[in-house]
Amino acid sequence: MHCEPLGQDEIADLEIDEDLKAQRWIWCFERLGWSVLGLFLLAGLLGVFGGGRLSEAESRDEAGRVTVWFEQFARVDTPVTLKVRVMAVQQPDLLWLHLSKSYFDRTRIDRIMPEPERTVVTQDVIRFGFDPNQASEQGLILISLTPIQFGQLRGSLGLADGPAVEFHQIVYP
Amino acid sequence: MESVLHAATMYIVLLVLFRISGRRTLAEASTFDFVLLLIISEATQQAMTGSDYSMTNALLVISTLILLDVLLTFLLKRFRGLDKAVNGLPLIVVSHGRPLRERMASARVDEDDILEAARRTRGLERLEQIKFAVLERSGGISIIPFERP
Repeated sequence: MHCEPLGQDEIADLEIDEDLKAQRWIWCFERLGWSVLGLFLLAGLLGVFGGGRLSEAESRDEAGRVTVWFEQFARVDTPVTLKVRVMAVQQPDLLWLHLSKSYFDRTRIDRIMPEPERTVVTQDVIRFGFDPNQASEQGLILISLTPIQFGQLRGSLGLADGPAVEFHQIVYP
Repeated sequence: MESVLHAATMYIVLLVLFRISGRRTLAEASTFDFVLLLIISEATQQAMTGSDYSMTNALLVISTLILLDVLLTFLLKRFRGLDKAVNGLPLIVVSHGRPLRERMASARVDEDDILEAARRTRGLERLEQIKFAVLERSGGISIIPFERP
């Protein structure tokens, strides 16, 4: 970024507010801005703002009974899906899955597949009761939800009588 | 509350983004540039209003934008340095028929742009007929020809 300086005689007729030093700063800022924009787009493509390779994450308990696949990066008002796999022992009653209430307070649950037979809301958790035949060993539970607040989102998901899995998400505005 | 913050953030972000894109981008707007502007405005509108389509929200957003614009105008008048940073500076790109190549390259202006402006505004045919060509703050090119005897 160079500027050939002009002699005062050369531009004597022209009343102009040229400031080459400031002009060079402005060009530097422009070039720096292009680099920042390029990096921003690259980060977006890689999934730093959700929906890409770097965003995919998995969390499971030590025994491997509950596994959650989730997006590490999400955006306000943009739906994301929690994919849950439960390896539960056979039981005649409903299979109860607990989701922490603090997580639920900052998201809006749009849809759960398969649909729970029962839902119970308590002070700390929301309990979803699934038909054990539907949420079987090989079956997956999909929770489609939309974050409604930005910031760090901490969730906990687990079985009523067993382990819980913690997961963290960053929600962009 | 959120609408005001969203509108203010978008105003500042757009100000910086358009500054980064350089003044040449919008001054010589082509049909595609207009289409691009429409797309940008659509994306911006959704980020500012979200899913709140109420009249109150629209009034809040519009009031924020207008007030910020008035404030910016006031600050630009008050602080010369800020004015230079936001609106840029005029730059001589041709002096006495001599193209100033380094300046032109840095400002992303080529000889064809200058000759086009010379033909369109002054009816000039050659670079040697130009005394000064100035890339203005608005992004347009002003042509000052040599005085004819």
